[in-house]
Amino acid sequence: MKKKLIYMGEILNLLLSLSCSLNEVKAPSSYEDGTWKGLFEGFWNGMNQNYLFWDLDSPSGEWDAVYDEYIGKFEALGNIAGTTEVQSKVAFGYFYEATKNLSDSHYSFSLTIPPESGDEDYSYYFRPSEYRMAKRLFLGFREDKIKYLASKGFALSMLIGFSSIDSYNSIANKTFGLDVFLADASKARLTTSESVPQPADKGKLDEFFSSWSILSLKGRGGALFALAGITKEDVGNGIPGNCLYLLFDNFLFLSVVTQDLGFEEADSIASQSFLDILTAYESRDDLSGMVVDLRGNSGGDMPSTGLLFSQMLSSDRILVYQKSKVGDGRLDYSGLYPTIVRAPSEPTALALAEKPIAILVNEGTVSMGEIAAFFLRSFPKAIMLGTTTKGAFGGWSDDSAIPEGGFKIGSYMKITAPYQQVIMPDGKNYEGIGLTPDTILQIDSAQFEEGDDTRLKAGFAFVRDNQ
Amino acid sequence: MSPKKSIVLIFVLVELLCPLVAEEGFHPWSACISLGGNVNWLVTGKTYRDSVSYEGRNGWSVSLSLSYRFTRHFGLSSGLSWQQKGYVRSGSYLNQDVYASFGNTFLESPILFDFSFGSERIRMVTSLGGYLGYWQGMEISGRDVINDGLAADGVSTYQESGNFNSDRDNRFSAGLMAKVAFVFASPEGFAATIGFGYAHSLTDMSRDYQRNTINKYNSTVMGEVGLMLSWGGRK
Repeated sequence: MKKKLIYMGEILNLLLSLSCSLNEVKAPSSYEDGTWKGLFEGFWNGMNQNYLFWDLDSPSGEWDAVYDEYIGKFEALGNIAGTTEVQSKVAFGYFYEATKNLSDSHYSFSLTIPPESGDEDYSYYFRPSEYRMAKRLFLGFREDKIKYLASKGFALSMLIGFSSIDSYNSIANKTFGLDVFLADASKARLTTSESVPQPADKGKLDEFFSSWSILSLKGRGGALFALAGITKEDVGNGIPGNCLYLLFDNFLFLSVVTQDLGFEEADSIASQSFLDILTAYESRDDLSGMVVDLRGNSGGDMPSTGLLFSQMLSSDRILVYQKSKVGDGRLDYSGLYPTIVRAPSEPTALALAEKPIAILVNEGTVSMGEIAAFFLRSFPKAIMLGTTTKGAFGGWSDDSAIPEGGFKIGSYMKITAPYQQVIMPDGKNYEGIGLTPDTILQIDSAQFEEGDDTRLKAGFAFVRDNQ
Repeated sequence: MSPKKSIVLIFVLVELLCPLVAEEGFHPWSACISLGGNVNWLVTGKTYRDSVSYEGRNGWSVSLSLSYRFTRHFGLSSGLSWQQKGYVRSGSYLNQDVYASFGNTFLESPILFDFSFGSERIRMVTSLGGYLGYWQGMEISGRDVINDGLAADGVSTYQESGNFNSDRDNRFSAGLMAKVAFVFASPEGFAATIGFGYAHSLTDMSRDYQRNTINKYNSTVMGEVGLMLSWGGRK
């Protein structure tokens, strides 16, 4: 009997030990062994564990196929030390090809290789969303040409910049005659149509608006420009009177208010004053509607939506749902958790919520800019005009304590990626796709350069015709 | 007292109590309904992530079992049980404490070899065997960071159920099980039971859908109380 029990115990131990041969989750840097193969192993495994969008990008094991395709190629490159410039370009090309079709529009990698000789590293940077945008927007796009430009360190965003002419600064400059390319703390942080003395560079603001306010702030880690104004009626140009116009380069209002990103107390005070003026504008009962210009808006803080627009809400509204990774498997996702814009107890701008609202977007409308566009479109008489947005919704941070998202592999690679996916309230994920406007309006570059902003006119026309 | 000494003491006590009760025979058949509680842990690979930890989660169980004793000491039992086997993954980042709590439920059918000793009034039954199961339900609840943790409402919560992923989740389960139970019987064939057990899954809850699959095995310590009806045999 004793022998039998011992025998059973042995079987039990064997089975338990078999079941406990567990795959370890190793740090991406731990794979680094001075070879290109090790660097790729670290990159591949880091992405495998940390990247948030495998449900979109590897529904059938595509990421495993990447490993199978490239592990031998990287092994053939040998050691990293002594890598020639040509070899470094080949290696960059492998990383480029392996990731160029990823959906995540915030994802990017940088590759820095010590030179074979000389002082300057071989440095490369690539963001698939720029490849995707270049493919969509760059006239004369060719796969080999784009890859060549990227390997030369040419910023693909420059190609996109050429295509996205109507960004906030060019709108301010060409349409309103303002020089705001650099939001600068050396300028007055907040100026209004009632400021004494009036700023020297107020451009055509008095022609367009009966009342206006400009916020221009620069912190160490970001800048914020915002314009709000109430239009004067201009029948000749189709501009209705008493239409609230808003132009933001981003949504860093919460960062400013909380004095994050190097913004100072004076910035916070100026920002709060701007928000108070905006609330007063929104609360006017003679408004004909609103045009929110999000062209070239580069995103920012989600709670800024509440700071800017909560007075228009009679009840709480879901801004987005988010989901994160809750395990190291590619498909280990959390449930969806909402970010909610809270309605104030006594909202003051409910009348505006019922008025026509035109939201102007383009391919430079990114991240929180897109989320705000989606939020505003949910009002009953809202329309989105322009061209398809970038499709970059995830939230990211450089905080190394976050277990998902970006990571580093020694000094060779840095991967930037979100730690959360964003799902819109309609249940859809627009990452890598972008929001398609209700009415597509292409820019007429020549007219825009001449100060004739046809997209803006279309926005005002919508308000005028739908009062 | 060390666990080893405790086990020895229990065995001795049961053996000492046995002669105090008259033993006239035994019922070969018995059925038992049990309610229990458990603590389950996830057995997974080591991780380098300092900000993440896995913890056990409490659960409930309901079991129906049927036993047959070939002899006074040896028997076989089987049945059906519903078991909650959860775990919690928690961490802290962006100045917020976050967690994901997994509440998985399984329908299991154990097959156990029983060795019992003592009297027919007070018996100790030790069981060893395995189980086959089906991952029947999934619930995930948690709290995670929103708004970069900046705003006053820096976290949001969720609770979802039933979101199985056929690529990711292996819903067949099997494992090993060991139990110890005490049976306190009346002459009429009714008995109360109290027992403890341990189960360890041999099947991975994660399918092998990726290179370096993140293994997920359940390890469960359980306690049960039950009512037993015995019949048949000679008295």
